[in-house]
Amino acid sequence: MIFTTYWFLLFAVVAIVVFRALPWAAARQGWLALACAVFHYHFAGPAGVKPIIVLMVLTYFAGLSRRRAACVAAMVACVIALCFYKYSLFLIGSAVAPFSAGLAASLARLATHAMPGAPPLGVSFFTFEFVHYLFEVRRGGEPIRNPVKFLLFAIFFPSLVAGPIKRYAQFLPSLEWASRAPFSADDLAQGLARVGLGFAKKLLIADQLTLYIDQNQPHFGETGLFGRWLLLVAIAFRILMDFSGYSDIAIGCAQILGIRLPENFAWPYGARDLQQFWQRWHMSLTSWIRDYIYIPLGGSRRGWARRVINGLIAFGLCGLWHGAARHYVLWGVYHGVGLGVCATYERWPVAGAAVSKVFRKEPLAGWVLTQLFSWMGWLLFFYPTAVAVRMAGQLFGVA
Amino acid sequence: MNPPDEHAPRARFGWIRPAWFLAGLALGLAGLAWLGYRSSRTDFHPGYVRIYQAISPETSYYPTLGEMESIVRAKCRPGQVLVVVGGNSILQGVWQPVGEVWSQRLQALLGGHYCVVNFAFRGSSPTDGGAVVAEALRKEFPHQIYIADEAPLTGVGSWGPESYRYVFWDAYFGGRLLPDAARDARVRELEADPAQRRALRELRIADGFGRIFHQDDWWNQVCYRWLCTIPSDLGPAIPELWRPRKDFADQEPDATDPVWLGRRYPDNVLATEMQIERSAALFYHSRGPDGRWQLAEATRQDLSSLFTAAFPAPLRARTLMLIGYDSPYYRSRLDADEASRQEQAYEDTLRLWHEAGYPAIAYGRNFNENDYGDRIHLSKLGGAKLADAVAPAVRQLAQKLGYLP
Repeated sequence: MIFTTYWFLLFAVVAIVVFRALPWAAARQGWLALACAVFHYHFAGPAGVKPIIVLMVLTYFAGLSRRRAACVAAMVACVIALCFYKYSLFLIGSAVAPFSAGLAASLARLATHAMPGAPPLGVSFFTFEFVHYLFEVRRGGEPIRNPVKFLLFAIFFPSLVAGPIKRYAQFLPSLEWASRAPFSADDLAQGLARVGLGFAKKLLIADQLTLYIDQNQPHFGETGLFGRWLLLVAIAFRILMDFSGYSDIAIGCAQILGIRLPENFAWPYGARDLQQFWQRWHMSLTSWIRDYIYIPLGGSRRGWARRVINGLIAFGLCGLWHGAARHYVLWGVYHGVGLGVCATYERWPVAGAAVSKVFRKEPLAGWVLTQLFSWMGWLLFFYPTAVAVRMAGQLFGVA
Repeated sequence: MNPPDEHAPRARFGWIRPAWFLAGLALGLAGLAWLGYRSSRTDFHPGYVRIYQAISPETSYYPTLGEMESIVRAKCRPGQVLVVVGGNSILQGVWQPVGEVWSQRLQALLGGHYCVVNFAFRGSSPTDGGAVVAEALRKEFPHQIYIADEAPLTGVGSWGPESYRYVFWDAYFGGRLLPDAARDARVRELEADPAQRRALRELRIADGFGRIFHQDDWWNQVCYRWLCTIPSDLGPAIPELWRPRKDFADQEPDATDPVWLGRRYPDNVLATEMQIERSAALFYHSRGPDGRWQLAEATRQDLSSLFTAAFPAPLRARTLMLIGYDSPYYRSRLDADEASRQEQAYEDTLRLWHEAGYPAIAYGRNFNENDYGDRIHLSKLGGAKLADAVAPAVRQLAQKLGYLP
């Protein structure tokens, strides 16, 4: 984890202190851009930085041109780059290997040869932010003309690795404000508290739960029912604490600089229906998927059947975004189905009205069902499908 | 200038009073730094014998340089000759139950003028662990002898395997080691690789933080005494894992116990062990005019330069190298030709160490099968014999170095 390195600690202290000490807005922005570039280069290395520079330049000039075709072409290039770096081996294995193992092996060799050892750092986040930017400019939004500001939007170090996914229309005013604002003890104290909370979530809770899960998951079948459910709770809280801890550190670091990042989590395990859950879980991703996949597909405007299908597509892609494996896609589709049911069950003849009445009268039932559904979903997220299905059965005493 | 709306203070930490919070944070950090500093100068291992499993890197517990130095300071007086045992599992005393570890017997044999401390790590190189502690303490304990072991015709680098190197880096970046061009050259070699350079940079920064906050010293003390959040597989499950390490005793088994006696030489590893047993003999392909097996000149030069580079020149004369013979259970399975080549390997190894400026002795040539717990590790019986062999060499070395009359 990048945020738990000593290098990051030292880097953040120097970057923030100098940023705050500089008296001019341009100097602050220039310094921050330099610091972000150093951060990106340090963790991504030359091989990881090059493709991002290419995408960044492409996006910047496409946005500047404000031409529809240029923006669409740049968006396609970003998505192709993401698919190439993150999904090419998965796609070759899934789509080519079943028909021709030889061809799949050759393609895999070619892809491996062309790629750096690992996908460029944060390539998924870059792609989503660039696509958002180009989409908004294409829709008539004002492009970022100042290359330093564009660079800062692209590689702002707190959100570079694991988000939150920024929106440029919110980020730029915040950056402008922070570049001119005097030192704020409030921001410093609250930002530090947020960073501390993030580290506590990550190191004190998530990492300990990881230890518990790693120890007990292999013996899931031999454990009693209580132990199995306890493990499910541990899995659910591990990912929440890990991911929201990371977001807290990012948001806190930005706040110390005086810059606001969007919130990413808002007590998702308190949600009483699945729609609410997704309004509280990884909010910056969910809203991105809503705005740039679900709504462009037609959203809920073309009848309930299209609404369900659009949801399935959007969440299937959301699953795939999390990792290049079938079980991630399945996890996304699982939630797509859940949301489809959630959005339409009231219209079901007879049962719909009765179930709806129960949930209205007993909100706790909705909470239990929602959490059960989302927590069981983590089995699909973390484990290969067969293992997840077996574990799910074992939770209910099915061997 | 007013902030835009979205800059309104967040509700989550809106209750924080910045001045109190920042003052509390500064005080808290200063308090932790003080606790860390105290930890680095406190011996919290009463009755220390060796780096046993629960306080070893194998269970994700990394004894710090400060922690090991504190053990020495608590155990030894500056007027004594400090005898630091380094090296690997053989000198750590694997198969020797606590109370009958060879280094304990060595202490008994040497008496009160000497203070023996065992800092051997399993799988470590002669240049790691104890070697670093001894070198860092050279000014406080100028009368010191360092003991390490190595297999015949095995090269020794300036440092050993990755998992034990942290002590070296701690001392190196902290300026605790003697200036040494060979070591610096190795560091520069490492830094030529970008991934290694990044890792070294991280270590260097961590060491800088460590000098201010002593965070590893503090956390080790918390882990040892009160609550250990460092993952390990010592206990069967949580909450066993969080039990302080002091609750886990040194439970090294006794190779002479009937339970283990029959398992010392399992048949299923015989072929592999014999391959290793023959490895030293494989260095010899021809005999010289005097009929003795000849070591290739290139090999001789390689080993010679590795031995020379292993320790800075001022430390070589006080470094006693032990070259151990393996169990006769395996040696007796070598044919006459292999045995004579192996014998030559021991002779050449000792000569090469001597030529590089180190005192060195071989041990175990006349040990019997019961002196071993497996091919290389000594049982408590073998350990006692090792101590008997090493004690006179240590005394002789102490006299030669002018430590004792």
